[in-house]
Order: sequence, then structure tokens, then C-alpha cells
Amino acid sequence: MLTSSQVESFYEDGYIKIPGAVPKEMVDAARKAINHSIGEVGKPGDDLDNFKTGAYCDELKQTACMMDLFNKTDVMRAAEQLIGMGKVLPVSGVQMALRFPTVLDDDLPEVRGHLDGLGNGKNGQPKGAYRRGFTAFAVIYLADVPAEYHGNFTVWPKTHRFFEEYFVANGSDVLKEGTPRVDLPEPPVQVVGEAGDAVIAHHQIIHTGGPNASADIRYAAITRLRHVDCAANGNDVYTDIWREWDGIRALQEARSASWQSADRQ
Amino acid sequence: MLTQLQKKTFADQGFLRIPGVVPQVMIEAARRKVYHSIGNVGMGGEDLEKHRGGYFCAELMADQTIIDMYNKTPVMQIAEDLMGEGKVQPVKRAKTYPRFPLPLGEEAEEPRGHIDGIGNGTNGQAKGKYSRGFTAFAVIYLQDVEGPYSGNFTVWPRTHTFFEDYFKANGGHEVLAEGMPRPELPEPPIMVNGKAGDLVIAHHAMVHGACQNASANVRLATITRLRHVHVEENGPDAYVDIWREWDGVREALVETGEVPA
Repeated sequence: MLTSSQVESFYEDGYIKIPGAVPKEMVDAARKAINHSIGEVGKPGDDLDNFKTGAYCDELKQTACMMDLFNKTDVMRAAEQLIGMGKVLPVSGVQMALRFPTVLDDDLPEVRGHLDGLGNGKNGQPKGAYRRGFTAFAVIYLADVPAEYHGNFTVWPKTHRFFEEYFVANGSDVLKEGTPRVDLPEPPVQVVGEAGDAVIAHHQIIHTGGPNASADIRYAAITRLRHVDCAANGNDVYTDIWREWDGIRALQEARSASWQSADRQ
Repeated sequence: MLTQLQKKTFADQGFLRIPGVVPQVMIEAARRKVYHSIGNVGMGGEDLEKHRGGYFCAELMADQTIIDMYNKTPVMQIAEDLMGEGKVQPVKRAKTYPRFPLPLGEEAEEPRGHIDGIGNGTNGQAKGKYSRGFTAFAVIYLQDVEGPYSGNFTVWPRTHTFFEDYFKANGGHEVLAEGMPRPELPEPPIMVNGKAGDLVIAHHAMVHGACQNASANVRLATITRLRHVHVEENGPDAYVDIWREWDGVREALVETGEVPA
């Protein structure tokens, strides 16, 4: 279902957007459940043991309505095309990522990204600890995100490969100090999209949820897809970023064979 | 600004929807504050002495961005067209009502309406008490409301004139001490659709409500109760003289010969 140029683009940039990956009916049902929860359930209590403050829609994380957005749509098919058939664990939990309007004046803040899985003492992991617990982000927009500064999922293209080289040179233990603050290859892209669009991104891409200066809530469902061998591979893939990506490796092998064939001619 | 036809329609139906009264830039500024409040402030405004539970956007009741949608737009001109020039008190407070969707799988119930100001012991007024504290509703949609059962502001047309007659025939407005009368109403309800920036203005004696929201979206509307400069002294007498505070409507009806000069 993904074209070879989309797969190529994923290899190059570390992310792709898949327009219309989720049917409108499923998107509307998810947004309805979220909006009901905001108004009628509200924020549950804090979980101080895990350094987590209360968040909206916690009770929806494992509902079929949310998990089906990933497991029963083209999102999983695209993920298997990239990661490998039968190599993606079914989604068992979804984060309802709401970004309420935050910018109430004209000064737009600088957009600042991070790598996931780095403990800071306030995010459920102690400072100095780091863990590569997933293979890819999958983000589904549940309402239109028509322009920048609408709370867009934001990525820094090519940082997956940039950091592979950086960790080969410096070791992944530099992550004990947090996300390395180095010059990145490209400026950030605030991904615009329509309700039902999905974004798949490599786990090693610098990313963030951008500021929301719009008048509306940014609605997204996010999960972290895991390769079946994710736990066994652990942190090794910080320096071997395609180990869990059969589809990308196949593309590279095909490309390599093509070059060799051309050389012979 | 309003045509004679619009005024006559208001007189007949008891409400009017006027499209595009509030500029989008003001609507978006208001919506931004409202959603920011929902996400970052949460419920406030609980007042146990007045039997009022918490509600969203309590801190925005007198916010300039919200109030300006009434005082600095054609809303006030429209109200004066109906109620009389210089006869409408400036708006000091307006309440933004988010109406959240029903849970998945739950069917919306038929809408149910009421007349404002009738105490039931849990709405800030003692049971048996009633007060007619305003002249007109002014509802501004902050987001499109498309289709029925989307949390629409809902009105029962012609109930303003119906209840004027009802009170006169049943011993006066004092029947309201018994609670909301439940006679058969002249027409079924209208769930008012609209775009962000549309205004709905309705007579105080209209039976009204907000229908349940079976859509996927939050219904966002800001509502204020406009007051004629003589609302206090007119008091409940206006229940049985429903155009006393409506110079513009009376003039339109006189012009067309529907009421004597």
C-alpha cells in the first residue's frame, strides 16, 4: 500500500504522512469519546509514584474504539510494510494526545524537540536512565491540523540517521545526560494534516508536540509501535537503526543490487 | 439594521437567527480562550450557598474578549432595533456553555424545554419563587452547529405569545410558583443550526433548552441575558404584557396594523 517512493522517503527523512489512513466514521467516534470524556469524566488523579500528573482520557487508553484506529486500519498495514509482516505487536494502549490552545498572545515560542525514553526524574523514569522501548511512533490526527502552530506533531527530519552516527561516535550512554543538544541537519517540520491522516515516524527521530496558537483543540491519538523483538534488541538499535525495519532493509538491498547490476553493465 | 420582516418574524416566532453577526477574528479569540480554559483551568464557579455546581469557563464570565462579542459588534444594534434605541443595558457578563457529546452508543433524548427564572431549589432560587430578570436571550455560536442533536440552542416557536395568553387565562403569572407549566405547546421544537459567529436572539418568555449532543464535537456557545433599562421596575408584569420592553417590535406591528398605535 505504501509506494516505493514513500518507503524511500521514510528512509531519508525518518517519517511519512499517510493521508486518509483512518475512515471518517472511526475518527468521528474517537473524537466523540474524547470530547465526552473531557466534559463528563475530566482529569483523574495524579499518579505520584510514577511522576505522572492527571491527564484527560486516561480511561480510553485501552478501549476498542481507540486501539482499532491502529489495529484495524491501514496504519497497521503501513507499519507492517515498513517493519515487516507479522513483526509488529498489536497495539494495546493509546495515548489521547490533546493539545489545548496555549498561546494567548502574539509571541510564538521556540519549538524544541527531544528523543523519547530519557529519564528526567519527572516523567516516570529516574534522571540518568534511558530506554529504547519501541520501534515507531504512530500518530493519527482526529481533527484537521491545517497550518503550523496548531499543536502539530513536529519532527526534525533526518535526525534518526544523524543520531545513529552520533551514537556510533559517542556511545549511546550520552543519553544519560538527556537529549544531546547539537546542531541538527534540518529545521523542524510541523506536520499539517486532515482528520484521519496518520504519521509514522522512526523511534530515533527528534520530535515534539508543537505549540497551539490556534482557536481549537489539537486532537491526536498516538501509540508507540513495537517490533516483536523490541525487548530483546533493547538499546542496541540506537546504533543499528534499521534492525527492526525489514521493509527498509529490503529497499536498501534492492537498491544495492540495482547499483551492482548497473556497475556490471 | 433589521428589516421590518425580521422584526415581524421575531414577533411571530419569538426568536431570530442572524448569520455572521460576530466577526471571525473575535470568534476565534473567544474560542481560543474557552478551549484554553477547558484544558488548563477546568471547572470553577461552584457556589454551595446558591446551590450551583462547578462549570467550565467560570473565570471568563466577565472577560473582555467574551463581553466584546456583544457590546462591540452589531449584536447590540440588533437588540436596540428590537428593544429600542438606548434601552438595552450594556452586557457585563456572559456565560460560555460547552455542551459535550453523549457517550458512544447512547441515543439522544427528545429535547425538553423550560422558561427561565423559575426556582426549583437546586438552581439558585427557592422552590415556589420566580423572577423575570431579563428581556432577551442572546446566544452566539462559537463553532458551527450542524444538524439536529448537536447541542443546539432549542426553542419552541410562538411560546412567548402562547404563555402570555396562558397566564392571562389562568390567574396570572403566579402559576409559575407551581413550577414550569406543562400544557401542550403550539409547535414542536426547533434545534437551531448555525455557523460560528451567528447570533440567536429570543424573547425571555420563550420555552427553550439545549438539546443533547450526539455529534462528535463540543457545542460551544456564549449566552447572555439582555436587560431592558426598565427590567427591574417592569418585573413580572411583562409576563402578561410581553412587548412592554420591545419598542422596535411594537413599532413594526403598529406599522403593519397588527396592533393599534
